[in-house]
Amino acid sequence: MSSPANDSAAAALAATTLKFLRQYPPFEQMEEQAAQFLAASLDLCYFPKGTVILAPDQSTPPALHIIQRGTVQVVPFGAEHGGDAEPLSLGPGESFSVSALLEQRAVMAPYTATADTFCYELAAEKFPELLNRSPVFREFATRYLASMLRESRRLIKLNFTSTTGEQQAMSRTLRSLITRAPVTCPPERPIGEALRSMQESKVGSMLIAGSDGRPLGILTRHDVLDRVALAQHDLTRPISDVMTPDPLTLPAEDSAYDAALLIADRGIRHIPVCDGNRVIGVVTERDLFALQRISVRAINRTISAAQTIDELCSAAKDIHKLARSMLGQGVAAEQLTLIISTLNDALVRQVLTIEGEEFDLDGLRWCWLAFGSEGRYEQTISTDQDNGLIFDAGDEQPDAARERLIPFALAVNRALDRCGFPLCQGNIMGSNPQWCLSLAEWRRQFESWIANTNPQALLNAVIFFDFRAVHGEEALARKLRSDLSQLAQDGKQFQRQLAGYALESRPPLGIISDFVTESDGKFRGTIDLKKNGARLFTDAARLLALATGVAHTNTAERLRQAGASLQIPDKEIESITEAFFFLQTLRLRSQMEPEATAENANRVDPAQLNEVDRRILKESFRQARKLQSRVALDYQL
Amino acid sequence: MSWLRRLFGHKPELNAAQTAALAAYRELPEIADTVPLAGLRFVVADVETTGLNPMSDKLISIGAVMVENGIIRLGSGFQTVLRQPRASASANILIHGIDGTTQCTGTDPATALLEFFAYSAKAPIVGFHSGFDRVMIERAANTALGCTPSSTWLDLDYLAPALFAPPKTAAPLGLDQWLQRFGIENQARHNALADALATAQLLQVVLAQATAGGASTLADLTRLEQDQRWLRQIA
Repeated sequence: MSSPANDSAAAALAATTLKFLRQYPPFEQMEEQAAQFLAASLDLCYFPKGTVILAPDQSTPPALHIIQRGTVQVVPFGAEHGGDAEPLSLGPGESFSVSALLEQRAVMAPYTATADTFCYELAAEKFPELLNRSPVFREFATRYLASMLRESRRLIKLNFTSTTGEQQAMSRTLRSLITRAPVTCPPERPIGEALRSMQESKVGSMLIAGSDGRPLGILTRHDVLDRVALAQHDLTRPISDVMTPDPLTLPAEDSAYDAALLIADRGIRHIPVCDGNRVIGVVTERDLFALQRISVRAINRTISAAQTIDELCSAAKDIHKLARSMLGQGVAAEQLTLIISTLNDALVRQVLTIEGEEFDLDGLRWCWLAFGSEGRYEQTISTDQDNGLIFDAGDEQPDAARERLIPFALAVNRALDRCGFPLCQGNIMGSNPQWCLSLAEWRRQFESWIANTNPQALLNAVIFFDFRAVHGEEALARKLRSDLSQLAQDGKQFQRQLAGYALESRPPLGIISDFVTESDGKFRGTIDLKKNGARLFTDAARLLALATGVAHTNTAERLRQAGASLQIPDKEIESITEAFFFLQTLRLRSQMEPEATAENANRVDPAQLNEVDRRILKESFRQARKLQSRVALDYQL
Repeated sequence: MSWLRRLFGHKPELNAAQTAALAAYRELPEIADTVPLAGLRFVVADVETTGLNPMSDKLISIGAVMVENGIIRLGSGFQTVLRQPRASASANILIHGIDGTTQCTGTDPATALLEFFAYSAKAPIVGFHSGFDRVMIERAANTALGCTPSSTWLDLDYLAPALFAPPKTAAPLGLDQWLQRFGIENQARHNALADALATAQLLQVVLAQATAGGASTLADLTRLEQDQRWLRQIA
């Protein structure tokens, strides 16, 4: 239905709209053609006072809103939790929500009309075209990006809480939480027998039930202490003597939340769950705890209290869950990888302690070393083992000491494998005699790498330069580090080699398209965030640290400390580390995808990213390029 | 052919394209009263004329915008200037700003009106004082086409006060007062299209209020309007 009458009206209406838009930034600066496109693409909507125009529980906003008349208020994210952020009022000429549209997600807080409001609307599907047509608008939209690096973290938080939401978990029915049939006995069962079956079936409580399945009482491990053990109760007496009669129960259809309330309210740890009158299971505080966020402290406690490798295996799973939930809470990659590394360290230490008891290591001073990402405190989720041993044999021959240490190291490597840290493919492990060396031997090894008799050998050995002590005689590792530091600072040829290595892989930035991705194969269209991303930073940081005598092994710390002595401006270093952490965050996210495998865990398809992440990714690669050009310049490569 | 014309009254002569356009319009389904407001398309129209006498003055131009789902579709407006045998008096030109040349070089009235028919497509036509617009459009259509648009007409002059009670003693508010009350700016008063746009914004406000008050069909709106007419008559 296009006639001259329609066309002339559309042109006239667009002219009116344009006249309005031109009064406000960024439209006042907008290129004529883009502005005309915008004006001709708008609709005009009305929202009476009190209307919620955009809400977080909706999907991507259907349109970009430009206020023509009226007021729209948005409570900044976080302010509702007692933050001091004032609600933001938007007036004529202001648009919302540019970032939600850029990121193709719902808004983070509701936008509410606080006066009768008219808004121009640009349909969401035309938004990319506006970005395309107008550099001015693009610039305007990108100005959000500075704050968006931070925002992006919040976004991840939103995405994850919506899938792993505590609230969602807490609304599960108790029936769905029950994983095993209750361990029950009749009231006349002798106490001793009942306790034995508790022990055998590894449960925390015994339910005493009638022949009809009705719960008559409960006895928990906790009760046993004072009612049976300390009271020296006759173990042949019936259990009804010592049980808590008529325990509180909940129906199976009640929620986990109801159980949590009851536990908090009554201070009980075990709640029998009934289907009608029949008890069908027991829900414990522990079950509910598992639903909630697993705390660092709790995992740490579990690890240090663990007596067996089995217990550590389950703690390792908790670390994984914790990482997921922390990523969901928006914890930055720097802290997150540090926390993962710290917990993994604790786990390794406990493995060493448990296994150490099985071996005679008397008279040996040894220290467990971590290499590679573990050495850099940058462990992500799927990390192979990279470890070794350094020892001081004292009067003993190194070979004799090695012979004693290797069976121990082998047990540790196997235990770690069981805990979910796969054995190193390249056999860089403490159980390999090659990497179970005395201080003097390690020193010689580093000397030979640095003296550069075999360039390829050096390149295969870079991860050793990230070594650090995990457990044992840390002084040995410290001594090795200070020796190495001197050797490396003097080894100019060695530094040049490392520089060449650091420039081997280039940021996948395209000349025509934004990114260079795999052109074929099963990873077509993706980027390897480890090889073509994070590595660019870790390699350069290692070189700069070794060249300036920085002992720290963490990439960000290396950059900061080396940057200071190289007089690189703080701001520049900050941008570089931010970029590195963004890549790390993307890697973590990708590793936590349900379909993540060892092969694709570090891969990202830029086309699948939202606009913000794509831009930040591009910027991150630019930072890598900047870092590389500094290295190239310094070493004239 | 003059005998034919005499036999059928002054039936206007339409060319083939015009005849086809009129037939197509007649084929369009009527909009029932029971149609829900959500999803209903309204045509908000305003006219400029040679004067204020609905019986003798002539229709100069029609401006209209479309309100669909409560949203003004700015990309689908309508404006036309009808070709006049001679320009209107200059005092009048000063009001609507359509100069003599434009008036005389406008669109053939039959074509202009058929385009408006096609544009409105039997959707309810809304205006402020739409009784006047209605008479002007129907008279012009009768002359040029021998028929009138089959739309329901709604008048915001009644609907607005039905939903937003003005002070009891006051005289009914005019369009400008209503626009002011809701902060609606009119970029070019007495331009049919600009007036239609401002009126459409008023319709948005009215529709939101009516819907909030429980109105759900076109019939609910016409009832509101009739009640207000009756109230004003007995006042």
